[in-house]
Amino acid sequence: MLTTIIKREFIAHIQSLRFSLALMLCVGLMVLNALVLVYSTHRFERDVYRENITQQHQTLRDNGAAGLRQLLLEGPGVFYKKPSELAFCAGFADNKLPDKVGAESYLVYMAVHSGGRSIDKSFYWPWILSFPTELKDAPLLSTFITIDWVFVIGVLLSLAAFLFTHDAIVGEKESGVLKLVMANSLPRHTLLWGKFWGALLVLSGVLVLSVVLNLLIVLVLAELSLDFSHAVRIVIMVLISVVYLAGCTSLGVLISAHSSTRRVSLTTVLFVWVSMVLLWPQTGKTIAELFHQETHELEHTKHVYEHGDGTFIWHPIRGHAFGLAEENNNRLDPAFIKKFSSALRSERTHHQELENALLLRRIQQVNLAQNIVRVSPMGAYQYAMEAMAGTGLPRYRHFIDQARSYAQRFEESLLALDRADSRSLHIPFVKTGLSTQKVKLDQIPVFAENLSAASLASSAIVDLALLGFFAVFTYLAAYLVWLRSSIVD
Amino acid sequence: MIKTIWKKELLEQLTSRRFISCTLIVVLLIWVIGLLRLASYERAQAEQDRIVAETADELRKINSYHKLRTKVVRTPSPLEVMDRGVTEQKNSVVPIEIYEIPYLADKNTLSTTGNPLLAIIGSFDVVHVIQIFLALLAILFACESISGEKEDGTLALMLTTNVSRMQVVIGKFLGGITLLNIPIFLGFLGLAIFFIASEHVQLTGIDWVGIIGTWLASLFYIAIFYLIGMAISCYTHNTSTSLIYSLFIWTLLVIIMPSGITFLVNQQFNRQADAQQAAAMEDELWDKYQRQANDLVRTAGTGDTYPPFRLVTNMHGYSSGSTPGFQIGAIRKDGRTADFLNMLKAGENLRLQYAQKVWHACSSLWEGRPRSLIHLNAQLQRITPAGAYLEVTGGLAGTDAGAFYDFINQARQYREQLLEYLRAHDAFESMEFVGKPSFTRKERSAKRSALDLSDLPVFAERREPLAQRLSRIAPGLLSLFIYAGLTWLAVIRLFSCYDIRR
Repeated sequence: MLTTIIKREFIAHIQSLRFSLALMLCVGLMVLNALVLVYSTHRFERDVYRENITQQHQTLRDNGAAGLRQLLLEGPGVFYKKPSELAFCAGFADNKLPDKVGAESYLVYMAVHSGGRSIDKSFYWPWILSFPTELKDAPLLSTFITIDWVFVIGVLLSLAAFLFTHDAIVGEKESGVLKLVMANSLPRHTLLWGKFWGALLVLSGVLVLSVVLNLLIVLVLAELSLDFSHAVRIVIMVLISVVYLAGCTSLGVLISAHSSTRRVSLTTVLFVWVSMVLLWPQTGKTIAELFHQETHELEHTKHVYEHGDGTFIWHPIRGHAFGLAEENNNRLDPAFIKKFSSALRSERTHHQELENALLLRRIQQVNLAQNIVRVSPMGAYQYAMEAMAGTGLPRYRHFIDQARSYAQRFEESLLALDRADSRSLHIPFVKTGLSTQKVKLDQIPVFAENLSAASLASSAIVDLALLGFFAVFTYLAAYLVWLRSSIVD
Repeated sequence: MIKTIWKKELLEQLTSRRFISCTLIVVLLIWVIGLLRLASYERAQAEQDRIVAETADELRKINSYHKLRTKVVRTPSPLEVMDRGVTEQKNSVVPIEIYEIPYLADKNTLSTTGNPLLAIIGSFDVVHVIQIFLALLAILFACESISGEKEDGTLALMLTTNVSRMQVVIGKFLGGITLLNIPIFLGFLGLAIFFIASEHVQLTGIDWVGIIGTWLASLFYIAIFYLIGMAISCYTHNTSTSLIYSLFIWTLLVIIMPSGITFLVNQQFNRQADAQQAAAMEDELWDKYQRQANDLVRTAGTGDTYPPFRLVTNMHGYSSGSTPGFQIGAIRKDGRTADFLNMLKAGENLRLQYAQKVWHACSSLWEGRPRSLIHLNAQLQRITPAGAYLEVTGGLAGTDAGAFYDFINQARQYREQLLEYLRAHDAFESMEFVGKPSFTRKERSAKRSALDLSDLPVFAERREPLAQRLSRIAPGLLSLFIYAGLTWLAVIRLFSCYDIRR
C-alpha cells in the first residue's frame, strides 16, 4: 500500500505545474552557477595563490641561505589560505573572510646620539602571528545571496518542498479524496509516510538532476582538480541537502495537517518559509552587534603599544638600550644579551596575547550571530554546507589553527637546529645570540593546510545535529497532528 | 460604484485573520529593524565625532608642512535607519593627503573599526521588508481577486449589475492598495515617532521629503505587485494555478533577478588584479618622478639625488613617492639654504604634477571601473521593480553610491583648498615644509614646536540638494512608472476579454 501511495504522490507531483517551474528554476540556476565558475575569476585566484606560495617559499629559501638567525628573526612570512575548490557549492562567505595570516618581523630603526655622532641602529622586532582583516578580493556590490548550491537548494528547493506539501492533507480533505482513502484499511502513519516520501523523492530527483548537471559542466569545462576527498564531501553535501529538504517537507505536511483550508495552509507555509529562509538569517548580525560591542582596532593598537603598566614600549630609553645592545653586542657579555632577549620575548608574548584576544572577540561575536541564525534550519543548512565545502568561518578557523601550529613547529625546528650548533650562544630573537649556519628548505617544515573530509565534518557536527533534529522533530509533530486531525471538514 | 467595490474589497480582507496576522508581522518587523538601526545610527554618529576630534588633535601636533594630512568624515544620514544602501560597504572616512587624490574606497579593504568578520552574515533593512515581504503579500492578495470571485460565482453576479469591467478593476485595485497601505503606513508612522523621540536625530526638510518619498515609493512598488497578481488572476481562471504562477513571478522578480544581476556584475570585477595593476603603474610613475627630480638636482649642480639635503645638513632624509618623509637635523653653518629651498620648490611642484599623473593613470582602476560597474548594476536592476525600488529609496535616503560619489567630490575640493593654503603660505619653498631646523644645541634638545595651522580651511560637508537626489532617482522612478503602466494595461486588456463562464 505504501508503494502505491508513494507512486501516486510521485506521479501527481511530477505532472504538476509547480514541479515544472521548480525544475526549470533549479536546473537553470545550477547551470548558471557552473558557467560562472568556468568563466569567472576562479582561475585567477588560484594563480595568485600559487604565486604567493612560490614567493613565500623563495623568501624562506633566501633567508635560510642567509643563515639560521636571519630565518628565525624574519619569521615564516605570510601564510595564504588556499581557495576552496568547492566554493561554488557554498561560496557566500568565502570572499568576505581574510585569506591570510601574517608572521613577519620588522626592523626597528633607532637614531642614537653617541659621542657627538649620530648613528642609525636597528634591531628585529620579533615576529608574531597577526590576523590582517583587509580583503583583497571582496565583492564590489553587496547582496544577501550568491547563486550557489546553498541558494538553489536552501531557498528555492525549500520553497518547492513547502509548495508540494502544503495541500498534502488539507487539499485531499477539501476535495473529499481523503475520506475515500481512509475508508480503506490504511493506517494513518502509512498515508503520512507515503505522502512524505512521494514529495521527498520528487525533490531529491530535482536536486540530484541539477547537481549532476552542475558537476558535469564544472568537471568538463572548469579546470578544477577534484579528488576522492572532494567527491566524498560532495556526496555528504547532497545528503545534508536531502535531510534539510526532508525537514521542509515534514514542516509542509505538518502545516497542511493542521490547517483548516488550503488557503490558510498556503499562507502559513509562505510566511513560515519567508521567515525561516529569508528573514531570520538576516537578523543575526544586527542582534550580535547590539549585544556584543566590538573593540575598535585603533584602541587595540593603542593597547599593543602601551604595555600593561602604561609604559610605552617604544619608550626612547628602552629603545636606546635595545639599540645599544644590538650595536655593541660584540663587547657585551651574554648575560646582557640574554636579558635583552628575555625582554623582547616578554613583549612578544604580550603582543601575541593581544592579537589573539582581538581575534577571539571577533570570532566570538560572529559565533553569537551565527548561533542566532542557526535557530533557523536554513542557517544550520548554510553553515553545514560551508563547513563541508571548506568555506566560511569553520574553514577560516581551521586555517588559523593550522597556521598557529605551523608557526610553533617552525620556531621549534629552528631552535632545535640552533641547539645542535655548538658555536651559537642559543639566545633566541637576538641576532648575535643565534647560529649563522645555512638552513635549507627541506630542513624546516613548510606550511600546507591539511583539509580532510573528517575534520570538516567535525566542524559541521552541531549543524548536522540541528538539521537531523529538525527533520525528525517536524515529522513526529506532523504525525501527531495528523493523528489528532479530523478527516471531515 | 467604484466606491462600493472599493469598500467591499477593503472590508472583506480587513477583518480576515490572514490580513491581521500579516499586518502585525510586517509592522513589528519594520519597528524592530528601525529601532535596531537607530541604535547603529547613534553609534555611527559617536564614531564620527570621535574621528573628527582625533583628527583635530593630530592636526595640532603637526610640526612641518609635509606631514600635513587629515581625514574627512561623511555625516551619517538619519534615513540610514530605513535604508543603509551602500553605507555598510563604502568608506565614510576619507584620508586627505597632499600627494594623493582621494577616491572612494571600500570599507572592507581598509577596515579599521568594527568587526570585519561579521560581513559574512547578511542583514536586512526596513525597505527590504517591504521589497520582499510586502510584495509577496500584495501578489498573494491580488492573485485571488478575479479568479477567486469567479470560482465563488460572485464575479458573474457582480457583472450582471450596471457596473463596468473598468470600474471593477479600479475598485478592486484601490481596495487592495488601501489595504496594503495599512502596514506600510503604520510602519512608517512608528519610524517617524522613533525619529522625533530620539534626541540624537535631527531631521531636516530633505529628510522628511525622504521619509514621505520612501513611503510613496513603497506604495507604488506594492501597487505594481498587486497589478501583477491581478493580471495573473485574470489570465489563469483558477486560484491554485494563479497562486503558483504568482509565486514563480515573485521569486523571479524579487529574489532571483536582483541578486542574480548583482552576482553577475560582481563577477566582472577583479579587485585583486586591478589593485595589482594600479600598484605597478603607481610604482613606475613614482620611480620616474624620482629620476626626474634627481635630474633636476644634477642639472642645477647641487648634488646627485633629490632632495639635496647635503646642502643644508649632515643628516639624510628620504623621499618616497606620495608619502615623503624629511628629516632635518642640525643645519650646517656654511649651508646653502637658498639653493636648497629653490630645489625643494621645483621638486615638490614636480611631485604634485606626478600625483596628478598617478591619478590620471590609476583612477580608471581605482574609481572608474568600480563606478562603471555600479552604474551598470543600477541600470540592469531597473529591469525589475525590486531593483528600481531600491534605487529610488537609496537615492531618497542619500545612502546610494551617488551620494558617496558626491561626498568624495567634496573631499577632492577640500584637498584643493589645502593645496591653495600651502601655496598661499609659500609652504613648498620654506624650511617649515621639511621640518623646523635646529641651529643650536638648545633648539635641538627642545621639542620641536607644532606649526600654527589655526587658519587652515576646515572641511564643511555640503548636504546634497534635493533636486540632485531627485534627478538621480529619476531613471528608477521612470522604470517603476513603466512597470506600473504596463501591468495596468495588461490587467485592463486581460479583464476586458475575461470569459466568466470558463
